[in-house]
Amino acid sequence: MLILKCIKKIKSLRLIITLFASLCLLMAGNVSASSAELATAAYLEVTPERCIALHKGQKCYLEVTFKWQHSKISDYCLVNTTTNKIIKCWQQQGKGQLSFDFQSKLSNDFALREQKSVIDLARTQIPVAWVYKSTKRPKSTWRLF
Amino acid sequence: MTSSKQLTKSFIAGFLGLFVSSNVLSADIAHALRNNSEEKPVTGNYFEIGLGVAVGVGPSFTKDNDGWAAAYKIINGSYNWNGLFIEKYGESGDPILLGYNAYESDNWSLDIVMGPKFGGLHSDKNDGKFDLLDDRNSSLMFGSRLTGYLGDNVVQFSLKHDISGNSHGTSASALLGRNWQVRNWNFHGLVGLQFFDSRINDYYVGISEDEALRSQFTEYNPGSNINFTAEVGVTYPVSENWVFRSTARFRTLSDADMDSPIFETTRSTAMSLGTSLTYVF
Repeated sequence: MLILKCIKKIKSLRLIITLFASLCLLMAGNVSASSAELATAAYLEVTPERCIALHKGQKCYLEVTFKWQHSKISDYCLVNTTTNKIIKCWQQQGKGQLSFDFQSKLSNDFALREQKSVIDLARTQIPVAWVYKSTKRPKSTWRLF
Repeated sequence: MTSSKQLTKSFIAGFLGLFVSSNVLSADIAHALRNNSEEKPVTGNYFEIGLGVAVGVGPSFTKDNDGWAAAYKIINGSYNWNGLFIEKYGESGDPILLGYNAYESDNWSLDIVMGPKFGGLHSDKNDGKFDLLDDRNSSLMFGSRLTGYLGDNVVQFSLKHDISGNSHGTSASALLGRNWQVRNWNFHGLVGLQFFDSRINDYYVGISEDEALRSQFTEYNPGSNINFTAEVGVTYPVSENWVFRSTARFRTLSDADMDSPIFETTRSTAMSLGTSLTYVF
C-alpha cells in the first residue's frame, strides 16, 4: 500500500515537472515572439527600386536613397549583405536616410542591423535588370555596309 | 528641309547604298566591346520595334534640295541557331541578312553572309523622271565578314559579291569601332572605309547608251570609288524594355557617284542625325 502511494506521488511529481517544463517552453516562445515583434518594428526601403543596364553583365549605375526606421533608439548599421560590407552606421538613432551611388553587375541585398550584430532587422534589395538579356556578343550589329 | 515626296527621293538615293551611311546599333557594339569581350562571338537573339526621327543633308534627285527630315519605323532583331543566323535591322533600311558562322575563336569571328542590298530608281516614286530608265533592282550580296575583338576595339572587314546577276558588282569595307560606358549611357564611335566597284556604280548610278538614247539623261559610266564613313552615338536603357538611341553619321561622297546625271543636287559629304525609341521584347 505504501509502495502504491509512493508511485502515485512520483507520477504526480512527473506531471508537475512536465507541466513546468511546458510552461517554460511557452515562455521561451513568448520571448521569441517578442524578438520577432522587435524585428518587424524595423523598416528599411530603397528608392528607386530597380537598376537597369543595357546588357547582361554590364555594370549598372543608380543613385538611390535608403530610408530606415526602428522603434528603439540604438546604434544601427546599413549593411550590403551581398558583399558583406557596412555602408554606414548611425549612433543612437531611431531612423536615418542615406543617398548612395549604387554600382554593380548583380542584384544586391541590403539589411539594417544593430551595430556588432549579424541579425537582419529589416531587408531590402536593389535588383539589377537588363534590356538585352543574352550574354552572347551581338557581333551582328557590326553589319555596317 | 524637304517635302515628304522629296524625302522619298532622298531615301531612294539612300537605298542605292551609296550616299547615306548605314546604321548600326551602337549600344550593342558597346556591350560587345565593354562587357562581353570574354564571351565567344555568337550573334545574340533579340527582337525590337520602334520609331525614330532623323534630319540630314545629302545629294538629291531634285535641284537645290540637299536637306531632309523624316520619321521612320524600326524593326530590329537577330536569331542564331547552331551557327546559322538571321539578322534584320530596320533602322538602317537594310533588308534581311542570312549567315553562317564558319569560324570563331576568342577574338575573331568569320561569317559567310548573304542578303539583298541596294535598289531604288523605281519610276512610280520619282514623278516619272526615271520612267525611261531601266529599273535598278536589288543585288544579292554574298560574301564574308571577319570581325576582330581587340581589347576595347572592334574591327570588321567585309567582302561581298552580287550573285543575283543584277549588278554583278563587288563591295568591300573596313571598320574600326570603340565604345565607352559612362554610367548607364553607352557611347560609341567608329570610322570606316567602303569600296564599291565600277559594276555596282554603273548599275545603280550609271546611264547606259540605250538609256541615254531614249531619255533626257546623258550616258554615264562611273568607275569604282572609296568612301569614308564615321559615326558617333549613344544608347540609354530607359527601362527594362525601352531603349533610347541617338546617332550622328558622316560620310564622304565620291565623284564617281556625284557626277551621275541622275542627281541634280550634289554634295561631297552627307550627314545625318537620328534619334529613336525602341521596345525590346
